[in-house]
Amino acid sequence: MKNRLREHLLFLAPPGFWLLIFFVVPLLLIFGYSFAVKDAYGGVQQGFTLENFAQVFDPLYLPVFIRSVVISFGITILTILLGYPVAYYISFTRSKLKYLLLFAVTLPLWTNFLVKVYSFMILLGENGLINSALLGSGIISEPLPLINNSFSLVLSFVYINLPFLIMPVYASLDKIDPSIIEASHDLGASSTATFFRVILPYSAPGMAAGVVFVLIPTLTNFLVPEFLGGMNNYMIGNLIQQQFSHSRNLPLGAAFSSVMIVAVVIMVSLYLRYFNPYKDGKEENER
Amino acid sequence: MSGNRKEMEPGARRNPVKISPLTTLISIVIGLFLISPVVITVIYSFNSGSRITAWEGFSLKWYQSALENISLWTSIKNTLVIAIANTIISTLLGTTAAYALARFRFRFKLVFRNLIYIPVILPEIIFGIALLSFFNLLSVEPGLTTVILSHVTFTVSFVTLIVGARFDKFDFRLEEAALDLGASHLTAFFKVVLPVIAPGVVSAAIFAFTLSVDDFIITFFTAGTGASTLPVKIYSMIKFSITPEINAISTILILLTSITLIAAFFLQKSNLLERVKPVYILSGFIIIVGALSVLSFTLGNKQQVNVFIWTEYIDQKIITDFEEKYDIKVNLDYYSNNEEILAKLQLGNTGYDLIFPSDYMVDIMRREGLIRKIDTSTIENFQHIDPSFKKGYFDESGEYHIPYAYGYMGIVYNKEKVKNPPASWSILWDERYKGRIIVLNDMRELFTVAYNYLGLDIEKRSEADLETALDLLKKQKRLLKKYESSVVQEYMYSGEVWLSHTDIGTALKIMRNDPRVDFIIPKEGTNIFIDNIAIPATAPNYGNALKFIDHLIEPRNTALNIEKVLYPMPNKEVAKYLPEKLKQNKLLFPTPEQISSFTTLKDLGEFNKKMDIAWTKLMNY
Repeated sequence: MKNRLREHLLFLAPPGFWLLIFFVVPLLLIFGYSFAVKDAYGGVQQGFTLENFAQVFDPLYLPVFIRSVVISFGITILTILLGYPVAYYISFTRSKLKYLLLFAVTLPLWTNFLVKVYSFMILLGENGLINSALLGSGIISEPLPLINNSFSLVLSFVYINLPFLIMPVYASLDKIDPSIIEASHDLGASSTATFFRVILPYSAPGMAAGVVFVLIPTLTNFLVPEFLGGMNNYMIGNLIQQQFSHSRNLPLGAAFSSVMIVAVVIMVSLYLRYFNPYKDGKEENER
Repeated sequence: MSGNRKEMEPGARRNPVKISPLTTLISIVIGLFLISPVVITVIYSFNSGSRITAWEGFSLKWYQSALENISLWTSIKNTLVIAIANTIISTLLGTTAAYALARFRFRFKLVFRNLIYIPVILPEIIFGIALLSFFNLLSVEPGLTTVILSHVTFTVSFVTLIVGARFDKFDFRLEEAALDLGASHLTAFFKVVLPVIAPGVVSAAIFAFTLSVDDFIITFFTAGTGASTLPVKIYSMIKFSITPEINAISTILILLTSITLIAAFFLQKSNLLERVKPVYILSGFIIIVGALSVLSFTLGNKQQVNVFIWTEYIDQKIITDFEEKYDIKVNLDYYSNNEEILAKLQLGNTGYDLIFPSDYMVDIMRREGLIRKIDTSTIENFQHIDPSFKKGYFDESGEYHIPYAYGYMGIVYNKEKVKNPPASWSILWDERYKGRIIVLNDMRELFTVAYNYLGLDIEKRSEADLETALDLLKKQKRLLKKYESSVVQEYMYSGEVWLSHTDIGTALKIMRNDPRVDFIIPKEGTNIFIDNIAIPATAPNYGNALKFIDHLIEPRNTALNIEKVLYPMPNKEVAKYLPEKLKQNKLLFPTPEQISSFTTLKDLGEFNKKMDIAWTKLMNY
């Protein structure tokens, strides 16, 4: 028993302490700032106030919150619908295309975000490649509004999120034992039934990870709305960014952040309870 | 388990899973979608024109210019050093965390598990500010090390989750069996567990590397002197004209990446990981950490000066000349707005010797005690500075700043589309140009335009005036293409936008490339900004900073600088060293009357909060 204790500390201590020191402590600092008073120049001065939180819950910000939640849930669903088939294909195909696709999924992650923004401008702009091609071939007579609207916002969000969904789903699909699937077929299950009863449950942990990777960063992203969004895509991330930069109100920014952190922690905890990647049933064979 | 994996490799006899044609089609389309922006980046790196979004012909000149750009290579070197260190540390930590979570029961397991998720979801800006405050609390000077520590903190969760997914459905009885047969815990881990999770570990490592390479915000806040990474460099470059040089650099990186990915793929395939002993991993880790410390030690020993500046705000030749003349190394880092320097200085000791804050920011920094007095007696070239800029409301004694460059706001317009040269701000409310107008995505600048147009004084801090200005801006919103501060040039070049609210330097750069474009100063008046040289109170190399200032404001160097950055600089002697064309440019040399009619944007104190609320209303409108 004593041996067991030392062993688990060996594995647990390094990441545990790392997170405690470089993550928990800095976060507590931010919580602290959210109760602090803003000094004249945006810094933090001594004092305790709840005023920052009063402002966070001002109805003024409600549309921003609603907009962000709707956009990020929509994006997440869309990313799953488009990304899952790709992960599925990569996992089960016997074609060499698998490696090309894996490469295509990883490659965008290696190009700087801003460089990709410019590429999207080249593609989607009024005089961009798509519009020029469509105009040139006579399919349309007026350029299509493809950029700086909700369309380009959704497109670019799905674009940056796809690899973050495909990779973890692929990772969990990849380790399904083919004999399980064969067994399902042998027992008379149709392909559809096999997918829903066998494959999908096996990929649940990967999906769980993927959804977290997609949903929450989208919720707080401020760069995509700024560069590729339209006139009505102001999101929570922009709001927080505004406080830290132009409005120079660090305590208010910290208060928004604290509320976000708490909301997200609650969401993730609830989520883990229902889609736990480390299911409790598994812990039985730990002994 | 690992045996099963092999059966799924191509060439296995039976594949029980049927893939519908629709799935195949979706996969191919998504694959094409994913690579198309990258392909465009590569193609446009061979563009002979200087505009990033319009094809003008084939050329390799941007590769040459990228190869010659030293600061770009420094930033790439930093990026790679950080990414490699981060990958090693976070993969080790994340894998052990995933193992511990899957394998053991322990107290606070639930807490630990939830804690792992939070770094993934924390807004990066909060992460950056939190870490910066933390390092400041411990008086750690920001540098490469702080960036590495920060990157590990946000990537370790991704590693844990990816490796954790691999552990799911892992049968720990295999490990028990190994233990029963006499293997030690570590042997069991490396011989039985690791081979099964190896693919997960490799993809997690690639992922960690990737996240690190592409991160901007956290790096920006935690990076100190000489630790600017490529994303930080690129971000600050967009403030000024972005060129296909960026595409050339990206293409080189994509090439290197592809090679790495293919190498990683074969590494994984050859099952090399299963054969590598923990000792090797550990010693490799020690070697890299050692190399890093040697590197930072050698860099730390030379005489140097650390400069924090807007990108493309200085001619590279001035720097190389200075380094040769004085044998002092210049470390350049870049920022893209005043608030960023303030946040950094307020939260910590940055190690910077020279910064370039604008007027109102000099005021704030002086009052907050963040910058020190500059002894101009040793700066010989200070005599050439235009005396009318030596003092200002923001520094009445003139002891805290030396004026570097200035600019003023106005409207750039496309002469072919806007036939009558505009004279007033009202053109930005003109129905005829609906969807063809851009205004700055900047609360203070935009409200200033509205106030100027209305003839109101923002300094009065009247709430009624603020409402009037807000109503005016609401009316404008449906006519706008965008609120945009960064990529104005591209919109003007492509002809998508005909009218844009911008500053003189940006305007002159657009006009240099595009003869269809002109610039006006609206008759209702406009505002001026003065960017100044200042020395942080914590500057470690004050003496070198003075030498650098002296070199920088030498009239010949100032002339070089004006040619490069196209902002006016307040130097009495500079005109004689400028080419004839620039000498005659009235926009570059506004008359003293014009200059005195421009207003400066002063800090509005508590009124900022009211404006911030008005801004949110405008964004929601």
